[in-house]
Amino acid sequence: MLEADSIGVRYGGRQVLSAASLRARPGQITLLVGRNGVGKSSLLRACVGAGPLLHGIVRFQGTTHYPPRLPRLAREGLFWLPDESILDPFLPLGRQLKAVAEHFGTTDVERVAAALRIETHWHTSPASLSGGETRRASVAMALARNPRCLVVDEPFRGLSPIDAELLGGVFRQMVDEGRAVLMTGHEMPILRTLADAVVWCTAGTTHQYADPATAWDNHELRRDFWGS
Amino acid sequence: MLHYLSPLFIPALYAGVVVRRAALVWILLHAAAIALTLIGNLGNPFDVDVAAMVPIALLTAAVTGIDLRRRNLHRLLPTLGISFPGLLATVAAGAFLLEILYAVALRSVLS
Repeated sequence: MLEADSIGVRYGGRQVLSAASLRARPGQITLLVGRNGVGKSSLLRACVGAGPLLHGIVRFQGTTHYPPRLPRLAREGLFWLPDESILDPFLPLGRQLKAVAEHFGTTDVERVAAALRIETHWHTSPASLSGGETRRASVAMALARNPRCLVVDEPFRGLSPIDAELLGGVFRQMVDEGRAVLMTGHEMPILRTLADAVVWCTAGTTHQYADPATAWDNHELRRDFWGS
Repeated sequence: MLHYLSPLFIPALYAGVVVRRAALVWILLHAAAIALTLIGNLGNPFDVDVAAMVPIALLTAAVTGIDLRRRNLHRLLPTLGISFPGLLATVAAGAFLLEILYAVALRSVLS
């Protein structure tokens, strides 16, 4: 569904990525892991057209995008959820979810809100939500869009274990419906249970593992990422 | 191409926000211009300066853009398929059109 090859990213004089690749396939949660500062978020941003791209090719649903542009990818069914809020802080959450759902013909947005346990905040403005609630509300917005592929940066950051489990269940349901989910993060207890495929980002490049068990058994990944 | 430019492709709620904010900014800019002309005794405040039309349209788009960023719409709208720079270009074009209508209306009233 989403394929990126030979991705290079540079910030100023610093080459963050030189030859990174990744795949997000339908029906799978793909987890992008790596140490802080290796360029995971930069790779996601470059692939979805939301950040600088020095070189590389992105294909989405069989169409090549060079350079990738987020609005165009979004119209083809990709949803980019950055690690910052995407909600208008001043409009009631329910109105925002309903507006997007109606525009894209999504039904049952109330059910989505209930599944993410934000239904009690339907009439609340996002400015008064906590960090975890804002995160769940942002995922609800993604579901209201009904995307084919969700690319999400650090979805579990700052979430309590029970909220992380709740969100994980929603991502699992998305891939069970045939969508692709690509995410990054450091919350390994929940991420390990979710990952169907792993991409390890290190030294400006990536290593792909179709089987997460192979990734976790790789001693170099263990030494570089787990520290043991 | 239309997708990059037209607010029609935005969910109505956000299109309403964009149009309302842009209209408010445009009105406030004109109110400020009229007030400055009166205070400085610079002539007829309703004498439309054609040379100021483009700067006012661009200023309307710029200030609207700052306000929309405050509302996180620069993050949300692209992931809903709308180009944010394209949207601001549409706002500038709309403001310029409004300038022309304003000038025509004033001249027909004052003449």
